[in-house]
Amino acid sequence: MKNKKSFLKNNTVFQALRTNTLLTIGVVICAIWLFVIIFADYLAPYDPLLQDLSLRLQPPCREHLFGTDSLGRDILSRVLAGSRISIGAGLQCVIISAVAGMLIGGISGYIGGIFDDVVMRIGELFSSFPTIILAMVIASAMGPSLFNTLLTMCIVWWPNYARVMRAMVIQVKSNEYVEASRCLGASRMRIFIREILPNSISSVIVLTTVDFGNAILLFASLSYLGLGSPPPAPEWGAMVSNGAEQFYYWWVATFPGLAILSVSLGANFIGDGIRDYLDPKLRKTIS
Amino acid sequence: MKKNEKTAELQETADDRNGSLLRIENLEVEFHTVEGIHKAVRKVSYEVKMGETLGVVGESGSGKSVTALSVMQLIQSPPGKIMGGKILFEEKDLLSLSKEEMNHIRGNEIAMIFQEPMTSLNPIHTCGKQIMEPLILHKGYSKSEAYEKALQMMGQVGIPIPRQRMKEYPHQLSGGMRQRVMIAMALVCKPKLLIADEPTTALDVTIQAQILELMKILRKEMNSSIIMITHDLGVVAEMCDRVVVMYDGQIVEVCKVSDLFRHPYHPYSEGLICSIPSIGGTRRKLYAIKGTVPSPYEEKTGCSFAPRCQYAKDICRRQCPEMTDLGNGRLVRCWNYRETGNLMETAKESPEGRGKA
Amino acid sequence: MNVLRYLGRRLVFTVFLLIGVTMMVYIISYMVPSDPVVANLSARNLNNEEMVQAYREKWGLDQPVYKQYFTYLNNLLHGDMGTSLRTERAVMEDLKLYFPATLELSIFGILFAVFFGMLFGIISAIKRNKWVDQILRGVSVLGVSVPVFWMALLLLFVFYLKLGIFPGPGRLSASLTPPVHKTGLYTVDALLMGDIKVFADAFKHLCLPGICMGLFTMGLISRTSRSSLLEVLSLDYIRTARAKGLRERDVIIKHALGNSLISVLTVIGLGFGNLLGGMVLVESVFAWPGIGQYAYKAAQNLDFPAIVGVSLLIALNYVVINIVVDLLYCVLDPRVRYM
Repeated sequence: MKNKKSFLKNNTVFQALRTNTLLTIGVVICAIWLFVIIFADYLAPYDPLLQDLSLRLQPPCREHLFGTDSLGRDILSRVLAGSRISIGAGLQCVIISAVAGMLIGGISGYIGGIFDDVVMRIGELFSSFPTIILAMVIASAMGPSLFNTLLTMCIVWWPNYARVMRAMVIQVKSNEYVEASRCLGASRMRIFIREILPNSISSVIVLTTVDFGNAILLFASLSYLGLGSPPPAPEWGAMVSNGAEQFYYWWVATFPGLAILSVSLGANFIGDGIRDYLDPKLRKTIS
Repeated sequence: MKKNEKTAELQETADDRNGSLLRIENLEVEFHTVEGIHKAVRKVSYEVKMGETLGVVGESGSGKSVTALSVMQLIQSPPGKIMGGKILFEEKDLLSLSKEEMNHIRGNEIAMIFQEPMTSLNPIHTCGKQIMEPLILHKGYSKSEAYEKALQMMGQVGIPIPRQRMKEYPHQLSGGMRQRVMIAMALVCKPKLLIADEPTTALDVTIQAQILELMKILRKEMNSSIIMITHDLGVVAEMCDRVVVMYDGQIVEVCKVSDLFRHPYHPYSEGLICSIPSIGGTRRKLYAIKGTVPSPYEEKTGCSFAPRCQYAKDICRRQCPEMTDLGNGRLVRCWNYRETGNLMETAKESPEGRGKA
Repeated sequence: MNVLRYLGRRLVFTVFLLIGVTMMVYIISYMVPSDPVVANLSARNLNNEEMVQAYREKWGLDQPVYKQYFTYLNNLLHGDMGTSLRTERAVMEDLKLYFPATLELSIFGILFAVFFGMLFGIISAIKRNKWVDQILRGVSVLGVSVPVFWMALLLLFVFYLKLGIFPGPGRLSASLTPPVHKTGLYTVDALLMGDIKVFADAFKHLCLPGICMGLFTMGLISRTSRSSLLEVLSLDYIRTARAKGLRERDVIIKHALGNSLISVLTVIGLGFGNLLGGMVLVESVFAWPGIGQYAYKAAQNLDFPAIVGVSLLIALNYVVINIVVDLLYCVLDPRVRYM
């Protein structure tokens, strides 16, 4: 008993959670959504695709807590089922772009020279452009589908990670211990994997957490514009868009919107918390 | 020597009161941080007389800067907090003043110079503007009057081509020049008291000497009192009339500078003096006080220097000694002050003697 | 001298950026599997071989893409951005028509974002860890987390439909005639005409979409200005300023604010990018006849001349904003000025 208590007290993660309320809220929100993603099938009271025109546009009531949409589908069930697509898309986008960006940025920074210049200019080009418009162009050119939208998001997103990774690599490259291992005859690949990667990964993780909320927002925006999965799929952005057409029936748009908001809020809380926690200057002044 | 064993508080003879400009009485400052409560200043009392230069010596973390910042009421709060005591400036208790009244004293009657000339000037204002600011604020000067006065002040602190420098930004000046600007800024309102917090520590040795020389000249011209906070006994010897030695938030010794160098009574002061390299004197191994500064968060019983003290006895570890008044303005906080002096003796006797006892 | 060299470098960069942007869109248009003919001709016309051929020829779609690109660049140098496939008007004309509406909205949005962002950030920093700070921080996190399109719907529902405080979608009430076109910004034009009624109406119409546009940027600015002000307030020269006897208010206004603005400026520049991204969504909810809607429709119809036109306009905006931000750096920070 006593041991456990001191473990909780000494463990830095728990300490961070204890001192930072917002971080705790963020973790709780994300944990709830994780639970929903896993058990969506059991939690949803109805089939999210089941239409019942006799029950169309029912306001929230006991049978349909969030009401029903224009085709009589239960909104609560759709919001729950939609978590898989919407959160999943955000996660995939962030993870794929993080991996791709780290690889590209890392290699680019490590090799340097003209190759580095060209890669970074291309990245700048992508990120100097409003994300939504670029995504819209690419997605509508390739046809609206979940895969294309995801691909587009990754295309506009990787430069963020490439830049961070590249900066880290260049900084670490000049560090003495890398010099030292080079003197000891370590191969380039070995240096990259053993020395540089572990040093760069922490800042990429922070970026990933902060970006996750933004990725969810971007995906919802694109799916609001009709660039996600085709219609019957329960996607949060598309559901809000559906609600925009049923403007007088507020519940159709409100609940999926709240779902988007809660996830991105949770992600932002966690991102902020981690950043505060990793920033030693801020850490010292918390009291 | 008179052994007038009275306890702590300063003797308030009529003579003292007349000459006293600033008197700190039983000041206590604490910092409340995540790690615990740090008692940075524990019942510190000292006074600064009119026209005198008082040295305050101690290691970093001894509370010397915190005491000075308390006088200016510039302690960051939170985490810092003044828990008790009085700071009497011309018989007014600064701690009981309103914010407005305190603002009128800061920069006007009491001014401060900080350690880091590199970071203590605002990078986005010209030097001229920063020197003019207190004049406009406190003396009600118009801009052009303030400009003329600042220009004159810049010349006075030995800045060449002052008209040009007025227009320049801090990053365009060298460290020594910036410290001169800081001094000009502090002295431009002719304060009665100047607090200099390690004014030369961040500078090159040659520049240090110049700045000290400048301060000596200005002290004569302005007739201000100075509190000179430093860890460098060389600076104390050069500049000060009296000296306060601080250790771990407490004053351990107060005396005239000449007395300190002739015969320090506190083992810590003794250690400090023996660790100065002497030029031209007999060759000896430099002394180093063993151990490190105690953790600020520990609750201590006994004298806080005891763990590092070569004279320490049982009583030292059990009970914290009170301030002992030795007369003639000498105060010491030690159970064994009668026995100290070994180090000085060994140093004198054996030219190549061991530093440590 | 310095400024000239800077502007010269910027100009070179701008040219490269514009070439890059046009090239990017052309490469995309070359790679896309879908056919603009399909997107633009109705199903009945698609079966008509002649119509399709005529369409291809008319828009130069039968030529290889690099040729199309060089033709385009050449025309661009002569101020011709081609003709929109969808509206069948010159893209330049379309942009001139739609840009002022977006500009007006963006200016309102960025002003809203900067004003409230800085205000919240400063109050937050001063009242650090007090309840005001907690609330304002909450608001700014909300600002960066809320889906813009949803917020737009919500605001419309509450303030237009339920409360009736603000007017509905569009730039101006139907009963009023738009002011004479001078700048294209309704509020400015109305003021130039001295028509207060039109001005008030146009301004009211700006409020809700403007707030939506600025919300995200406001959150960013508020967080950055809070943290940078806090950082500045812990620096040595602030202690110096306090030691001079300045009132806390003057310490913040005269010594801390200017310095903290330097890092806020970067975010304001970045924020403009976000603003332009958000405009597609906001304009579609508020039926705002601006570039966002134009771009959206162009993308849907694979109207590449229009897409390139919009892209160029946005890239140009990006460059202009960056130049302004960099010049502001020079104004604010003497260390940059004398570099």
